[in-house]
Amino acid sequence: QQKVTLDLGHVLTTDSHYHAAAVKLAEVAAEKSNGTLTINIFPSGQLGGEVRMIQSARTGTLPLVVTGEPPLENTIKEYGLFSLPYLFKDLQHANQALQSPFGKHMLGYMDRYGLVGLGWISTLERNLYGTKKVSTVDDMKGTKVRVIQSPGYVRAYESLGAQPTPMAYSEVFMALQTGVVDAGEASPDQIIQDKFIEVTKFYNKIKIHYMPAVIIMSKSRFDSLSKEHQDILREATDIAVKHAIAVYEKNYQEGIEAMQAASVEIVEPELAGFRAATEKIYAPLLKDIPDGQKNLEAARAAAN
Amino acid sequence: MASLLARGLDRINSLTYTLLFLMLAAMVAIVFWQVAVRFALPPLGIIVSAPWTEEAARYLMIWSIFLGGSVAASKGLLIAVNALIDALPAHAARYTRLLALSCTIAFLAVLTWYGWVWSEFGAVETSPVLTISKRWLYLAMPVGTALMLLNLLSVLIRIALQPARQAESHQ
Amino acid sequence: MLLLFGSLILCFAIGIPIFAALGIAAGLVLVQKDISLLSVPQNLFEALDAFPLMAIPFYVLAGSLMQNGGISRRLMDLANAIVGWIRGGLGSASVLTSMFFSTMSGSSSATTAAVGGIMIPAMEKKGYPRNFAAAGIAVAGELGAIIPPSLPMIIYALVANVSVGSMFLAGIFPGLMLGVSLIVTIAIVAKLKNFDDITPITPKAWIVNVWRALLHSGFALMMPVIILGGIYSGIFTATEASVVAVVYGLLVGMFVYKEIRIHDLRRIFAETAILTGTIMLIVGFASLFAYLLAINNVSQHLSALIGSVASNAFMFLLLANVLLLVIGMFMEALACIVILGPMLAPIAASYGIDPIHFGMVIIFNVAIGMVTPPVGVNLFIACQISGLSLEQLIRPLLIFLAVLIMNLMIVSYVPAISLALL
Ligand code: NA
Ligand code: NA
Repeated sequence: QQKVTLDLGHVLTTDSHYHAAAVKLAEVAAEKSNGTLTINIFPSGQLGGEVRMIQSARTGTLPLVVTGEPPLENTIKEYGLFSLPYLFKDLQHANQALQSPFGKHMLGYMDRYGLVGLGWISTLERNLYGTKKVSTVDDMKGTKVRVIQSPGYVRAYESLGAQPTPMAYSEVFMALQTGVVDAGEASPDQIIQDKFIEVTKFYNKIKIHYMPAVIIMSKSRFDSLSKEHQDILREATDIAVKHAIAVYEKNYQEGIEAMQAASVEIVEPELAGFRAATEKIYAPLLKDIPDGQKNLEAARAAAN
Repeated sequence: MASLLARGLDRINSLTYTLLFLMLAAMVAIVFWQVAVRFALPPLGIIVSAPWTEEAARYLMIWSIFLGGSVAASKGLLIAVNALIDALPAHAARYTRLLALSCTIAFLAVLTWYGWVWSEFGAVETSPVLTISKRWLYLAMPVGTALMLLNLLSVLIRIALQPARQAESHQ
Repeated sequence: MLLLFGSLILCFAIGIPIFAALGIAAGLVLVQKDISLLSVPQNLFEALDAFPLMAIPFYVLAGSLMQNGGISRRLMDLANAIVGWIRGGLGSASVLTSMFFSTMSGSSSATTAAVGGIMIPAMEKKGYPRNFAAAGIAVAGELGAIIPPSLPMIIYALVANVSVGSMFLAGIFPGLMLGVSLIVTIAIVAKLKNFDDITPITPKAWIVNVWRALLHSGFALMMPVIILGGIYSGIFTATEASVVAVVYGLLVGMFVYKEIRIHDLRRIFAETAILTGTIMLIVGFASLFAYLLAINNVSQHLSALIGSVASNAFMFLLLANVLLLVIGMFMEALACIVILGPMLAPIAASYGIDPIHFGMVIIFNVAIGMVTPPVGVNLFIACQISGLSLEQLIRPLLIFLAVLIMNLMIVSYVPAISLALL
């Protein structure tokens, strides 16, 4: 076997489940290939932001990326589905769906864009953190929220009566501190890893989005590998995915506990009102998502 | 030929000049609106969101950077280190300047080409909020660098045609 | 590495524009390493497609509006009323005007140009040696980068991933300290060289003068209150504050002082866009250059090298200062931050240095770089205004450089000066 070295980039810290997936992938690949397949990991955005790394994978400059799904929506329109609010019931449903044939089908869309979707790792539960307590959907009215720049996210918060505000990620901390915005949306582990805990009083579990994350490979680089190495990467991905899902669950729990220890109030609102309020944006959003209706039904039916 | 280029460029540059004014004015209006919808309108009971503001302003800024660079090239305003050239005798300074201009022009030609290829590559990406093809953003680079190239070419021709002893007074 | 720096220096030397020099050096290395040149546009767009950069055109525009709208002249009158009577009063007033102007302009070259245009001739008329006046104005112009708002701080915040607002807060005390020490320096030199003597004034007349100047410049002085007040009371972010400065400058210039007319706007806006374009091209290509350093693991090598020499934060800061001062002599300020910031900030963090404090150290260094030959933008402007050559400015500069380095040491080793307000 010829020796191959592949670089892998992601933007999160070494505590994240992105990193856990990358490390496991590298470990298993090295082991199964008797050291002929080496993966070098560059965490914390050392190789650039997610948009850039995805571009690099498309051009073949960067072989492997672990990334959140929203930046892919700019290229793969079908993925707009994942930004629909309350698409999945809960974390288990989201992860089961993505590991089912539905998930495999969704990975298939990457082929057209010079990418190979190796596998979905755990989705991230996006909740509302900040200085405002949200117990009912009425509390959302007029709340200034910094959100991801994706139509599904923006429209979801608008439909709840909130005021989604565009803002660079590096400005969010100070914006919460001074009150430019009342809230941001993030998974519990990020609140800790990105230090938002210092400016967070309430963590409102509105569970509005389950943001998928995925291991992708440059198609030209994948095709240039030997059949054995391709198979090894596939097998290693399966193991890495299971590991990452477990790590996320652990990080999630630890995040909640750390917030409680820092006397952040964890709010568990009744979600029926939220779901009802966001229903009206499904039709207009689905209109712009190719295969949207079909994939929506498959997503809902996947898992139990 | 050279004067045709110069006259054509004059017209393009003055058009670009007006365009730059309009783009910067639009950026001011857009970002000010972004502050207003969050701060000034809610007390009046109006809650609207303007998620498009940031993206629109950013894209205008990128266009204005490349177009601004092209006008700067025509006016000799591109920031450079001239300490050595100024210390050289006039004759040597003139040739050094011609060499520098040629290198920059060659570089801009390469940039224009790869900028164009990149805009083709990026055509499948759409911007998240405005949902326009990112080609319209990425085109800023080849358009701007091509204009810069033409402007520097015109300067190069001017210097090359000047008798050597007048070259000193250039810029 | 040799190819990267060798070609860069060669390109600089023959007068190729800085952005192209950075691009050519980086491009040659990309070709040598067989990396697709598509990473050039990719890098540029990633670097420039950032909302916090919006503050650069806006703060440049705000500065231009103030200069065209009569705000800077009123600030000068006020500064003169406050300190004009002391020994070296006119020079001190120039420094104070630079401080006022700095609270609204993010750029030190704009500050030098705005203040120097009027003050250098005025100081010469009052008996200051021309080269001393020009050097003093160039040095005072640095305050534009140190007192918030500041373009270099915005760039540092972006590359080091810290909050722009926190960087702004960090600049307040170092800026005040530098301003005061420059005033003291000028007063001492005036005493030694015996020019610009004290103008005796009764306390009552002083109060009347200051009060009158305050009334005239009230709208101008509200600008920093609105900007900083708005940021820290949560009305807008530090980036958005720049647009508020523009709108306020427009309103005051057009409707209060009535010195800007509608048909001036095309010129003011377009010239701003052109200037910003030249600055941002440098920022974009510097980030390409920085990317090449990153993929070549220069950061790791540098960090290992520094680690082998510097055993503690004290030594590290000393090394970093020497490095930054030397590079700052030759490199343009923003390019310097884009290239060195991401390399040095993580090393600083590993020595337990606060990223905001370290940012302030970098800002102070690049500000000094603006007045160290051979490449110093403030010097170029001061030379242009005064009609002097760079060599003629060097002697008076040495006095100021000593003061600057003293200030730098205090900023480096007393973190509280930067961090007290955070
Ligand atoms: Na300033
Ligand atoms: Na310098």
